[in-house]
Amino acid sequence: MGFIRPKFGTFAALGFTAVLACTSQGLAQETVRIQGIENMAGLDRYAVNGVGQDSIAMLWGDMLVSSDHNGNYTPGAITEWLWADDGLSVTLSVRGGVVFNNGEPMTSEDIAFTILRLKSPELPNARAWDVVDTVETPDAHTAVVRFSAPMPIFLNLASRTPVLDASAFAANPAGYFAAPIGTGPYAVVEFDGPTGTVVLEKKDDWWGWTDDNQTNVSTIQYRYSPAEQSRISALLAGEVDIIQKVPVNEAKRLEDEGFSIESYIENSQVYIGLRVKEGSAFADPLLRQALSKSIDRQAIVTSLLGGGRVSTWPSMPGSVGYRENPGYDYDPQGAATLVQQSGYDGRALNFYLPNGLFAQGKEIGETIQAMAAGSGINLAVQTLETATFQEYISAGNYDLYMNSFTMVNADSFTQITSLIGRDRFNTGYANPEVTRLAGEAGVAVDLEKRGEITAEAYRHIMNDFAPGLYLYEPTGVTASASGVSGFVSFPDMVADFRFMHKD
Amino acid sequence: MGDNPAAVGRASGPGSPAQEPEGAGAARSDLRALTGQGMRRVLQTRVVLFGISVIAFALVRLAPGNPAALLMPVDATAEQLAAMEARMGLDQPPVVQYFRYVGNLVRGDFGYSYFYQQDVATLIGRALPNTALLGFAAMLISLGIAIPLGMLAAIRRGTVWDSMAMFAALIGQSMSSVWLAVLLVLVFAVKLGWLPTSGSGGIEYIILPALCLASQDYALSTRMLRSGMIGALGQDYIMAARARGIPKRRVHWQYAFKNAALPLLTVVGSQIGGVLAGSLIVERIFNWPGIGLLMANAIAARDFQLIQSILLISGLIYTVLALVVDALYTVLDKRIVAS
Amino acid sequence: MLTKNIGDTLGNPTDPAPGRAAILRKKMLGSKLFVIGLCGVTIIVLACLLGLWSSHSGPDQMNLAARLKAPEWFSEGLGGYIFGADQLGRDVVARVLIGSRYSISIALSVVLCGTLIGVTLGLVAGYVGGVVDAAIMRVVDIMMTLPTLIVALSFVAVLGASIQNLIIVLSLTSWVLTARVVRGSTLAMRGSDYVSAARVMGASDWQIVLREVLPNVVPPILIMATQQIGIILLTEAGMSFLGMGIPSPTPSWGGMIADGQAYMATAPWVVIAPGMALMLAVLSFNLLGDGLRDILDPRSAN
Repeated sequence: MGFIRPKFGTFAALGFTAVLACTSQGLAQETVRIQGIENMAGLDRYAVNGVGQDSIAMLWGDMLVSSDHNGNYTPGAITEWLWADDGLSVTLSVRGGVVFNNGEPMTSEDIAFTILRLKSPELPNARAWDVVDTVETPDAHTAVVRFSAPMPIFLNLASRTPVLDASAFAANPAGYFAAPIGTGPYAVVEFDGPTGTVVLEKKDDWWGWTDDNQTNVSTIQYRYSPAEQSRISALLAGEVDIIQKVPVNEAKRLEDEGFSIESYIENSQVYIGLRVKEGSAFADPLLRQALSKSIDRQAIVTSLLGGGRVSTWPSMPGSVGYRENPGYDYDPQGAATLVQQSGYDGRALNFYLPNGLFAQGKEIGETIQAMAAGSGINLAVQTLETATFQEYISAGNYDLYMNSFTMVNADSFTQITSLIGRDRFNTGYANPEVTRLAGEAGVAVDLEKRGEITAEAYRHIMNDFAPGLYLYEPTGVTASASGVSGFVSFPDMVADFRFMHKD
Repeated sequence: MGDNPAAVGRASGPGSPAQEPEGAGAARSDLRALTGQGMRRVLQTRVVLFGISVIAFALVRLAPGNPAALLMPVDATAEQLAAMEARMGLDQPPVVQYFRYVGNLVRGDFGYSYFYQQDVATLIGRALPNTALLGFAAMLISLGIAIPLGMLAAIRRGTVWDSMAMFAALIGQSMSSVWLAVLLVLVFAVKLGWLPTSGSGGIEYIILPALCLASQDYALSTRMLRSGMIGALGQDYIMAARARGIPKRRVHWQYAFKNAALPLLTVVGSQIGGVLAGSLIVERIFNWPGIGLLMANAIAARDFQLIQSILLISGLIYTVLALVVDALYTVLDKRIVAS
Repeated sequence: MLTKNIGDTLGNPTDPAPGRAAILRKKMLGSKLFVIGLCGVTIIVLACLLGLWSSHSGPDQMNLAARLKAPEWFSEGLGGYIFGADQLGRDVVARVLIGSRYSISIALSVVLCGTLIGVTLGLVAGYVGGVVDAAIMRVVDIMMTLPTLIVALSFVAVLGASIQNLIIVLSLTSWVLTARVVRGSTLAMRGSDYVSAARVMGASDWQIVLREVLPNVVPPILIMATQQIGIILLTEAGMSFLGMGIPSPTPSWGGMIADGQAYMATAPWVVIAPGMALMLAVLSFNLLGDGLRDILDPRSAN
């Protein structure tokens, strides 16, 4: 991140820019244009589903706490948090000297409002905040959150929650998120939902600016661009500076063209979900094991994806509950034998793939189809449009499906408590031990303890080959024009664009 | 995708003139016939719009996909999902939902988009001018290609020129618009750097998407113009004009083209009306902020009221345009015959 | 307006003069469009047949080692990856050849079904008239304003994606234009001297429709059906792009274009081969249609 910074104070820089904008390079107020995959239908991240909303919210607002996205939290709008021994309340210290872009100072009232709003039934995405009871504000710098039950992912979600201005929201609730009022380093000046375009401008009075982190990027233009080839074309044509989610096999080409490539293994897993309810083909553990043995995960990662990591456990390294493990065998002959021993009659099993939810999905699906066929398992692959796919798997209307799951902040909480514990995708998996452990994990505030419980549940899942067979952790690639630096792409696909520099 | 059948389908134009009463004499009776026909057509339009509203309503609900679930996170409980459905009014029986929607429509309320958290009317109002602009640009390009090709083919009929012109006309229609779009972007935006890859802004942004849309349309216009010109060139008055020694060029453009342009009007009118179908894919590929993009996103999110209202409004525009074109056709036809 | 042109000019009874076949043959050979189109269609049919026995590996035979292999042309003889391999190392030529069978047979089935529906409804609407006509025509109007995509999405989603269902869905959306044109011609015929004469001779409605009306709407139907084939081929490609095409690994041109799109820049042969095949096929059928129009159009007699 060692880049050249303007030596002048912000005020002086602004004054000079007006005069010298064209001649003085060091003072130039640059624009960085980004194309990514975050759906920008609205800017209220609790009303619109999507991990990447956070990247933009982090620009116009300050998150309650900061996160390194690997499970460690540092002060944000909240400088300190003190848990009560019973885990049923937390006392928050509110950062002083923070102002919203309408000039009002941030107080504990705003913190209380921000948290309590998330209990509103109108916010489809805020479910986990239900356990918040009240938020008390003894003074302008202190807020006390009281819970009706332990909330183990309070910090996790707090790192994804930008502070809102209570009075401004009360004045105009419907229009608030068209140009949100926040305390962040940038302010939204333009937003269009249908094209997913957000334009933000730098605020010179942000509390977080120091002489060391000052950016020379005055404007950030973000645009939602779901097709990977469109993003690559835009980068090649020089229309954008940064593109997210580049397919691994395009990275080399872009590098050869002189673009900077940043790659990392994502905190997400692609897995196969199996319908194991009584009466379905995969109710037979032998067939589940056979399917797992028939899949050459290494070949998928090396030959097909050209990058990534084979999964050996129901969560990825570094996540809560991860344990070293040899992983799954690849043994097509053994798989064929298991198929013989199982009661499988050879009928076609419905294998659903979502269209466009993760890279090369259809190719991987067809490869698995061919691999399974080699061991005598007949899969009928069908790519479904996302909405249809979600309906089918929610209803348990499948034999197997392939999907991906991202663990934000490397936290397995949602996966173990909801996807597995409450069998969100209707697999019919009912190991009483796993259900019990998932329930315990749901109230374990202590991370270490929760890790133990989760790992125990994972061991059962590995032995049962149900409800999921974990395949791989993909490589994430961000490409940028040379000369743009200082942005960070976290493995959970959130990106920090606050401290960029453009030559 | 659907742009193709739709374009050709629409080109047949509403109300085939074959059934129009022949030989209406005085201008007054023409007018009366026109208004009478107009009234009947307005009535028919209402039936059609009612039909669209019912079918659109049924179609979005027939397709799998739950709009409430699509807004919820993966860890939502069944109770939370039910609460969200109730808030969106999806827990009501379909008949109640339909009449509530229509009731709101009558009061000028086109519904609410839960996906965009905005009024449907605002969203459509913002997108419609952009699609109109794109449609207009596509029409200009389409005519710019079709008129020279069609004239050439008709005048040099039966020669190699004719075949070449018709071949050129069909090339555009023979390409999948997805394929063409990707190709155009690679060549003109990435390799040559002349035009932007996608987005909106100045005139340079409109060229590639308009070209893609036009590629599907100009074949039909060329064909119509060619056959119209062939018909016109065979008419007695053209022969007479030629016999009087009026220059070829003038005969072709001033006399024959005027006649042949009439069917073209209907084609163009209906192609403008049908721009939504074509723009679904093109606008999505080029991220053009029009009705097609809005519709594609609305379908993905199963944003029921937005889908229904877009279908209804595009149906309305299509039928109104058809009425206008028909009226224009009748008036112009009389005038040309009279002259 | 297409109605008027096709209906009026082609719907009129042509004189059953002697030597009609000879004239027709002469016209056929005289129409360059028709000849070119016919050649194209012949090539496609031959390709379909060729696909039955050609290729060293089947179209579904994967070979990850040969993933995105560049075209070898004929350096390995006929056994190599002549036009390269796709994203799963399958032979592109084999897939395009086999894909032609699926794409073409889907298009032909759809056009056949759509034409049958369209002709039936068009005849009924035009001949019976009144309320029946009004009802059918309103359905036609509604269908025309609804984008095929929306209708197809709903139906494929409800029925499930398979080749049969794809044919059903596309047939249900492709009859509209035919119905409209047939109705126009039928209306014109109903008042003609031929029909009046037949009625005087005591012919029943059935006889009139089958013997007098139907033969005269054949030329426009033939032209439209030919061109519809091209349209359906493209629609199938669009459906694949949206993930609603025929299920994998069965190859179809549209599916190959949709799946290979991501490799357009790095391995263009994956998309160019099916794209060109599709274009050739659509173009040939369109040319054939235009050629037929020239031949069957009485105005082109001279």
